[in-house]
Amino acid sequence: MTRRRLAVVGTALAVAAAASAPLWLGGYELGVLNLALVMGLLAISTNIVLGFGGLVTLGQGAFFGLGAYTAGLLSTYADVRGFAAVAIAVAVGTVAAGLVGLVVLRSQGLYFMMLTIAIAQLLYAVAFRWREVSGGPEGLVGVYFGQPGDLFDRPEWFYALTLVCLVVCTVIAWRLRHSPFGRSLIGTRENAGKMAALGFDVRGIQLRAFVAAGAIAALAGALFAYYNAFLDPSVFGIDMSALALIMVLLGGSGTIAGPIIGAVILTFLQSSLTSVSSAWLLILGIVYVLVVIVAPRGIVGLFTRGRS
Amino acid sequence: MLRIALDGLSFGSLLFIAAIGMSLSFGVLRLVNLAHGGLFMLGAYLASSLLSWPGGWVTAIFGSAVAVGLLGLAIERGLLRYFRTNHLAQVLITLGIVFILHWLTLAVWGGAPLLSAPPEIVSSGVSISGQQYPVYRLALIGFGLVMFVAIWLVFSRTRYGAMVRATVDDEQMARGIGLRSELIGATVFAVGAALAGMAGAIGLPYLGAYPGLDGEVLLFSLIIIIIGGAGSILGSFIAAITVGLINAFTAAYLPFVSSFVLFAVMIVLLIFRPYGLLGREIVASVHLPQSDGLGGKAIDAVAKRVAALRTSGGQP
Repeated sequence: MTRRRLAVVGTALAVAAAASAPLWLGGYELGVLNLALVMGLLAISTNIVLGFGGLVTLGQGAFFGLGAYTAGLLSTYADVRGFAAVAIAVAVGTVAAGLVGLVVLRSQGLYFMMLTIAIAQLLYAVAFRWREVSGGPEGLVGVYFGQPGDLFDRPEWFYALTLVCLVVCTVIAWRLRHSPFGRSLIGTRENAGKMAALGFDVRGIQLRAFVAAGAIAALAGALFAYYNAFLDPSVFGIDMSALALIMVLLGGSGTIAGPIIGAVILTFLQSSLTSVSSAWLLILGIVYVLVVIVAPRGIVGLFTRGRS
Repeated sequence: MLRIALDGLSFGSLLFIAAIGMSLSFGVLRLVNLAHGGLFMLGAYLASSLLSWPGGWVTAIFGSAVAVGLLGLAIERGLLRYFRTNHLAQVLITLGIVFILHWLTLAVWGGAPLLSAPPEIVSSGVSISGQQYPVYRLALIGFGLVMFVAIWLVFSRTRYGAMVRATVDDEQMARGIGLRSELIGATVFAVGAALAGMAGAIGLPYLGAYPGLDGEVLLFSLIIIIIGGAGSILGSFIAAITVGLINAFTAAYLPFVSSFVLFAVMIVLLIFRPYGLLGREIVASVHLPQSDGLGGKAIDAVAKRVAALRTSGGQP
């Protein structure tokens, strides 16, 4: 019971701190925190597939990028912005995740992972080469959520929007995990054969989780494009998916808070290191190796030992 | 037409040498090496520096192969051997190595793309259908064929190859009859890494060396493994040549859809043969360290729920 009380108090404190952040954080720090929350959404998406479903994916960047490019193309070519554009981006991500899931979930384990990489990399190649539409390696410039001067053009209001999205998606992930569907998803992670023998449609369960994760990743991508006001093909890159993966594992895979903790730590680490030439890459590489050796169950796992 | 086919064959040959190491470590050792493209990139960068050493291209090719092979050996002995059954750990460690290699190549060689002229002996051209065609690319085709035959012979005709195959078929039995399966695995990984480094070096006049090269090579290697089947030497060769030809012909006639064509071939093949042309089903389960504590309890809970539903006649 004390652990539950701890979780409730911790959550309340975290939400209060995040909600009041515009009051006590400087403009730069607020921007970094905003980016951390966007990355947190991508990490939540990865956690649904990896943590709950037990499927190692390195392709969430595919849906992240589709969301980002949908928002970007709508903003630059059609002048469609705001919540309508975000809704379209999420719809695109959802449909794409359904189609991709139908194919990639046919294989398991490492083949599944390799296919997710391949799909994200192919989208990367398309965005890179199709200059006429995507702008090629230079990307799209001038991607805005609102018209200039709008409410959400102000950083603190865009931050509030991101925070609301993150809270909603966290609640969705929490509800998902404790729902009958979430329990059966975790069941497929633990023992797919037994679940199939019990009469569960294993691939159907995994597909629904994959689609939910694709929708959240597309939402994260759209917000990412608006946050940066520009985007380039790197949103599809394996680096992006790998970053989301390590955020989940650093924080604690399969937990609710873990992905967000991992996203906040790594985003702040990155922003404090990118000024020091390419040292960030070295540190990030070492983090990957250290997580495996030192904290295989993540930061949350360090505090909940003995439960598994 | 012939020239495009030759382009495809030469690119495919290069891809074969680049990808075979990853295919073997995955198929033989069940070891995922996402740093394979990074090793290729490191080979290319090393070669660009070694070219100015005495011996020129010979030093560059063998120096890169040996250096990258040793690095592969160090990675396997130092880190990966402790995670033989933990695929997620392998994925993370090799991803970490990818980032460290990015940092290393940026720090040493900078971000500008490097390219070098082909070696003297193959720098001329021959007349094919009325136009000059670089001998270098024909040499790539020849080299790819030689490597394919050599690797295939080593695996099917030598004592070492028999030991590797025995380890693949039944590791416990192989150990039982006194084979040191640990070391056999390490050598396969190191040789695969050396081949990647060598491919980076011989591909330097073709692909060059630039940041991002590793991702492209990794993607092609993945497609080749998916199409050809992991661990199959013949499958990898067929897949590499096919990918090279598709790449060349779509680049020439349908430049905008070239990525989609490769993708479509891969998907269609996967629908009919989920483990590739010549691959065997690999039970590559992924063990995840979980911190939510739901573990096996979740299944029991589900089982109880199902039982409860049955007894209550479907009422939840």
